[in-house]
Amino acid sequence: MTLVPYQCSCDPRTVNKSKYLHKTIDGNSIAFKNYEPLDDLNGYILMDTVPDSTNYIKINSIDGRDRYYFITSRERQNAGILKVNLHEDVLMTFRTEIKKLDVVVDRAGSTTKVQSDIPDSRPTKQYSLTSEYTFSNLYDDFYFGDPTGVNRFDYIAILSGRGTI
Amino acid sequence: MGSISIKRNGSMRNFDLSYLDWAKAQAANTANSGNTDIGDLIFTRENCLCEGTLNTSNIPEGATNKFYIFKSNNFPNSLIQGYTPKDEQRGGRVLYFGAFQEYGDNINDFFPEAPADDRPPSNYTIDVTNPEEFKWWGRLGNASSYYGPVYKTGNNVPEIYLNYNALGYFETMAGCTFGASMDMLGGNNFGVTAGIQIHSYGPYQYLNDNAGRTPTLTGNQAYGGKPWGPQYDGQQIIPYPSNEVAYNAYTRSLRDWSIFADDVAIADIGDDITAEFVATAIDNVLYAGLAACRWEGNHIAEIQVTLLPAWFWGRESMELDWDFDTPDIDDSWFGPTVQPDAGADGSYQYTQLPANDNSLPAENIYSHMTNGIGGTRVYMCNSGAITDIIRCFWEDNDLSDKEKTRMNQGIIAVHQLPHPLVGTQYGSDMSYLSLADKSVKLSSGSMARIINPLNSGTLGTFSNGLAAILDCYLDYEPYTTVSLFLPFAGTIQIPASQCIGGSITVKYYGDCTTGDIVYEIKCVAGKRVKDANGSPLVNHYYVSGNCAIQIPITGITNGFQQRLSSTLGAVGSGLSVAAGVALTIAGDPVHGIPLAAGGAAGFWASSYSALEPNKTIITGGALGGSLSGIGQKQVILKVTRPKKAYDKNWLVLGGIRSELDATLDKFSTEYSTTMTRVKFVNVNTINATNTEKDEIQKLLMGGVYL
Repeated sequence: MTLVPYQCSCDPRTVNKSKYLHKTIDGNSIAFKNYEPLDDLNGYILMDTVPDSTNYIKINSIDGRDRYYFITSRERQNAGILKVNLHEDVLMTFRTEIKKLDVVVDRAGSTTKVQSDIPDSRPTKQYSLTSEYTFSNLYDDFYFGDPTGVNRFDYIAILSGRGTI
Repeated sequence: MGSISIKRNGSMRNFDLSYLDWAKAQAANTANSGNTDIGDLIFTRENCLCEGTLNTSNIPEGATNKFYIFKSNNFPNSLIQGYTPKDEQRGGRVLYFGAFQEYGDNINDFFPEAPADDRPPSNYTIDVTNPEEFKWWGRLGNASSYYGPVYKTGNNVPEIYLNYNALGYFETMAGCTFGASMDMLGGNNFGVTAGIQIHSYGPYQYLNDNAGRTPTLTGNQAYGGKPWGPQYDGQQIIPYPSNEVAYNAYTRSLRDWSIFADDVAIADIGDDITAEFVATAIDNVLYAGLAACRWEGNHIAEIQVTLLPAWFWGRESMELDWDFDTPDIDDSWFGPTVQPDAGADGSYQYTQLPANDNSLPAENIYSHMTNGIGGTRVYMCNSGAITDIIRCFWEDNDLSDKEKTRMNQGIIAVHQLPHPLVGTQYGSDMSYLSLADKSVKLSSGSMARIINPLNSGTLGTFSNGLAAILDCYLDYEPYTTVSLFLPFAGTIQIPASQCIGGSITVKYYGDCTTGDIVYEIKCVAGKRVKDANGSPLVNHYYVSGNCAIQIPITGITNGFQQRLSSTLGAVGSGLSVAAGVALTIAGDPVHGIPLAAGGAAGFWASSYSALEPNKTIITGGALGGSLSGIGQKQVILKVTRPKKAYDKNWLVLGGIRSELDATLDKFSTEYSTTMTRVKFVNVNTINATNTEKDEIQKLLMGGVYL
């Protein structure tokens, strides 16, 4: 069984961490009390195999596949022995199968391939945009466009006098 | 010779084809010698679709009402098909056309040709006198609606043919589902061949059948009419519908397809035929033209085609989750937000005014004044006449001060109107004016008596800015608000549900004696807000204002104008106008002076204060009254809509609503999403322990980075 210690530099929620894993040293020795359960291992390993910068471990060919683990705790024992607790990174271990899952996505970080018109209470900046439209200025058209017709009269006079009674 | 370059995205452009030798082309066509090179028309490879105007001024009279620009002698491969305006406009200035290309063709050599009219004499192209109707352009991917113009025909029109691009184009993107509907109102027993065609113009751009959705075709299909259905014709553009309807074609991937109804007889007016279909564009930037509609027969009424926006058809998935802070959504999602009135039978009907637009009283309620009843008359005059009146007060030494005072009493009101509400002139211009018991000679001005002081007109109909852009509840209040500024009256709010997707028409009714204006605002709602009969809801509003600018030449306070103005205000309030006027004439309610028959002097004396200047100044936010001359004189429509913008950081870290169903790998590789939170997933396909599967599911539903 081969142990590959890494320094993982990405969010643990990242499914495929391959490009964020930096190998710290090639390991060749590992000893656990047991391998059950697979997702939470604890055991003793040689300190030389896991430099201090190691926070992530790949164990090759355990239960039929390579599995990836977060080092959740490490405690120095005697004679260069390190006691570690490991929690399986199921996203990385099963990354290939996960990518094939058919899912309904609730939220996604894309504006082009999501239904962005669905109302969303999350921090979308919603603001108002006011557009202004005008009718043609018929008043002026009438008034200035008919200098010889009835509109040549600018004023209205209401008068009282002889002949109006 | 010249050249033309048309860009791919085909924004409106102007092209001058005047250099083309149309006469040569026509002669060649008459000689049946095929196509003739009449000029260079160079397209670049990026050409795909365009819409624009062409200068066709040198197209000879009688040449054709249609022309083609071919790349070869093969008609179906024509690149441009256009139509000149109808006969009376031929030789005119504008031409609407569409251009498209076949992918992979050599597109460097195309020859315009002006063939003879190949349709029967009864044919004519649709009237393009209002080219604005044809600017019908947009991205359906942005969830907008586009409503085609309503084409109407009169009775006994043997045949109408809408050319290819009469109904416009649209462009969309891959995966964008769009639809179109056609409403056709018919008359009595006519045969019709009509429909909608979708043509994809770009390279390798196809329409998908969008399995599971079939065209919805409803309406009266009696009288032996053939059924409606989609039609597929391979690579060809279909200028006319075939008589054959192939339903099975709908299951294929379509490049050009159409739905048509052949020989459908519609029994009576009101028996609508409605056709709807949806399709999905496979490739990006699909350019498609919504095209030909043709019918023949008598008494057809109208046809309108509506492009439906993309996600309108996806609303089912949108309704899955309304559990966050959205407004209460109920049946009004597709209906009005206005509240219906309960009918006696428990059904709901919307309160609606009669369809008569001219619902204001037409009778001349001011005849008492223009006819001299009440001792006054109304005149229209120019500034010279005003000068004549003033001059007689100050320069006429033949008049005594007492006579001048009496004459001054005869001036009831003088005002200026910054709009054409001058009424109807009675007789010819006058030479003398009666003022009190004296005559004033009009030496430098013109004056005429008004027999009818009322005036009315339509300021316009507005619909462009009222489109249901978001096509959902966001198009209505409180998210979208609509206001209308009316000159001299102020700003009013119009419920968005009563006009979004529809139109607003503004009419005015004015009275020159007071400057009072009553606006009638007719709001036609969009397709989602309908009345009990299924027609778009129509509402009327009435708003009053005043535009008179008082001219202080009279020696009295202008009590007359004030009282009459307040009386006319009742028009906008829906009160009895006639009764209000009667009260005013019967006596002076302020001073308690009764008005006897012929007692005009007493009546007007009640508001007379000798030699005081007119002090009536009306101010306010309506820009009316004395501000009429300098204020805004245009009707202004303001539409405030919500617009979304996404916080960039939140987009990456938190994501926005998706509701899409796909594999995570697709989200990762094709959609390029970063943060992804799963709503539903079944992890049992993974060969892992239950503990591991539970954790995988928990992580996915909590959000992961792909």
